[in-house]
Amino acid sequence: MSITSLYFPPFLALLMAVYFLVPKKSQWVTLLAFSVAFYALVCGAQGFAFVLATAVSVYFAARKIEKIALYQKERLKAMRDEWTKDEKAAFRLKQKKRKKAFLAGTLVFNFGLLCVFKYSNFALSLVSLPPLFKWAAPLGISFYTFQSTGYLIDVYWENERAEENFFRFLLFVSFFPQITQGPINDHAYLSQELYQPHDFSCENFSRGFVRMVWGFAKKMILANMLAPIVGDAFSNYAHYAGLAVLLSAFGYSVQIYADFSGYMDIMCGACEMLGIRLSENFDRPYFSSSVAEYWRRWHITLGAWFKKYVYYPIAVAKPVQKLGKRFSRTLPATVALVAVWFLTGLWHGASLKYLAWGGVNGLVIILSLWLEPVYAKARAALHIRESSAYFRIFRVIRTFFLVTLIKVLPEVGTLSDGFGFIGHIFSGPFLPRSARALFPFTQNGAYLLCVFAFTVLLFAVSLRKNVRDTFFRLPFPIRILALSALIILIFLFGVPVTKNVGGFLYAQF
Amino acid sequence: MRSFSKVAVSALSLIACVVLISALMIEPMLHGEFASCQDAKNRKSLAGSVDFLVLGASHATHSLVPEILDEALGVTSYNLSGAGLTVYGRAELLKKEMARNPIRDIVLEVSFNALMKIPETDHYEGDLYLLTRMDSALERLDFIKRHIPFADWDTVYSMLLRFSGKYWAAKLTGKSTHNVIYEDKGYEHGESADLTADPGKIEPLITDFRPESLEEFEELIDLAKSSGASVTVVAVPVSMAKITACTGWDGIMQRIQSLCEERGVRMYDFNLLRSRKTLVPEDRAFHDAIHMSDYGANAFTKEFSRLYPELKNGAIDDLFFENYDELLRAY
Repeated sequence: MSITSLYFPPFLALLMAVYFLVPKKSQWVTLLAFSVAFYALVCGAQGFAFVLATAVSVYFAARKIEKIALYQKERLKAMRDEWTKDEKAAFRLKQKKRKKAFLAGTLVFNFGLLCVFKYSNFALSLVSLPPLFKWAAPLGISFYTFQSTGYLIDVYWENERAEENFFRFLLFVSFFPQITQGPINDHAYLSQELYQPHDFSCENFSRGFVRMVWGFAKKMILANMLAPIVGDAFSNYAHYAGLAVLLSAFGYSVQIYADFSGYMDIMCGACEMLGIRLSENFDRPYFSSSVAEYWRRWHITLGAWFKKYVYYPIAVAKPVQKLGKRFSRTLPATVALVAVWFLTGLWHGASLKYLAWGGVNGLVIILSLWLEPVYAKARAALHIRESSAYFRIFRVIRTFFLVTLIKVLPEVGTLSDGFGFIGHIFSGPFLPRSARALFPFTQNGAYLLCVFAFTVLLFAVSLRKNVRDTFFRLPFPIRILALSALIILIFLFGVPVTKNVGGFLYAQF
Repeated sequence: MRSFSKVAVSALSLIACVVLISALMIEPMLHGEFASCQDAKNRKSLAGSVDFLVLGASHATHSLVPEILDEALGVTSYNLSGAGLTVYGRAELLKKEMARNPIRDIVLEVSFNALMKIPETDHYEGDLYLLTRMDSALERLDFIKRHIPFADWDTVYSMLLRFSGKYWAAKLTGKSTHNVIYEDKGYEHGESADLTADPGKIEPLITDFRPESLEEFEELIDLAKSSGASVTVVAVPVSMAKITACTGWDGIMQRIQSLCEERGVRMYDFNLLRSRKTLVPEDRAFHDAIHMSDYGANAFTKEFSRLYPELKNGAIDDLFFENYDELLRAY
């Protein structure tokens, strides 16, 4: 069952009916049952075995770690007057080692599964060995692994209580709206949303539904209509003028945003209809003033995960802090950023091109960090006010260009194809001498008009932060008409291309 | 409860609005001068008098002229064929006409791609044209419910919307909204093209049979025989350009031949007609590689009508090559 198939609306309608009809204390059980069913329908029951393996290992490890921490507190309290300082320190160290063993073992097991499925063939290719592993990775393995291990680390740090009920924890791991493409949620946040009872609310239902329809439009119309244009440009860029290649790079930026954020809108909208709020994953990223800000607004929850569990632990680690004191205060952040961007690149794909992509992103951010005093001096010398609207527009456009060019690097083909693609924008003839050199933009006029119109609509909607509030202030008949028109446009333009284009881009992770 | 009833009212309003807009887009196309609608009206007006039916896909709409059949055979014929008409679609049309006409002869056309594994969207294109030839919305919905899997209802709905979009675009720009001209009892006209000069793009043959289509064709033959009429299966000529450019003809056509024999009907492949070189010359008898022109259809229908009385008795095998290899050797 695909989200964009006709089976999804009845599935959702059934979930809603059951969810609001069962006793409130059983609502979370309904979510669990439907999550298991969803996973089984989308990728088969055997795939769920791996989700279960992660849930079981993390659940028991977290309970054990918490038990050790509790035992440690109680024992220290009990032996407060009897033990010496050294004995207490030795005891604490021993318990810390025990906790660490459970943490490390579980992390190794779960990340090991992830590495085997995603990276083993890549690792073999690095030493020129043929691929060994032929199984497809379980759907959403990156997302649910990160979410579960984040929870485990929070329990280890004693920031979070271990979940006592295994099935509630299984729901946290396998909740279907976020298992395949995120968002990656904290247990502290998501548990409040999932386990609390929810009353049926007209406002939640309506707002969630509108968001879901908008998500379908973004994915099925805009993303999927752009896919063949962009795909053709990526395959045949050498035949096209620089302008066409540049426009297709912009097209890819729009495509991937519409695809990924479209999915988020569909699933967040569906959850909102149930009264559940998932974390947001996008905050108008193409309006960012810098690459660093862009990554705080794009795939927000992944960035937050890396920040919490990789960046800060490295940046505040004593050896790194010592380096910083010795050489430069920016060094700890730099070291942490190198680690984050190496891992982010690896997360996005098991290949050198994604590592390079991560490296380029990291380099741009690190350079901005180191050169910020230079930029500040330049702005002062040129009398440019940072808060000026023109300067902000310049920065937004510059950032959009930058992130677009970095984004296409691993997507064209090999890494050298990516550099070739970018080089072709600047090295070949920029303006097309004929319509043919502007191909793939000389396709069916109605097709291109629709893509252009939707891109403009997306841009206009993105300009306002609370566009749904504006929508709900419109008179009821206008709202119904607008929604009906959007639904018909989804069928008119979105359905045919969706059958050809297929699934969501981020589902591959 | 109030919350739920508000949502229910909104949901019903939305559904009603979507249905209304869809109906406004689609219905005028189905009742206007759009050619497929004319077909339904034509057939209704002739109900009770038709005794000779031709039933196939676009190859048949372009190759058998009812007017010539009527004159030559002394019948009242109708070419029920349609572009991309699926086998189950043919059964729907046949059932309807059998119920309201005294059918004595049924000619089932089967071509090289009728029973093959083509993309599902190609099937639905044929279904789309068929839907426009039905009499009422209820009939259409019933057809969709019985023949289109639920997972593909969105595809068919989408195709209907796009079809009607083209209709409205043509109407608003003052262009003709005729797609297929059903003025001549189901025969579609075509201008001659010189295929010796330029045969156009020729697609390779699909050689995998669609198992469901084979079953449906068997059922179609049984349905036709149940009327008590004389049933003949034919393959109408395609261009030599198509035949020479593709391989796998014998495998496909002989499989269909065996199926027909199992069902107790004769099949005649007019591609193998020995006189085809003079009857349907490559430079004027075809509109494109696989459809005949008016010249070709007229010539072919006359010859078909001449041979038909003996075809029914299976007496004229020596007018045909044994197989495509022999045909190609002769050319």
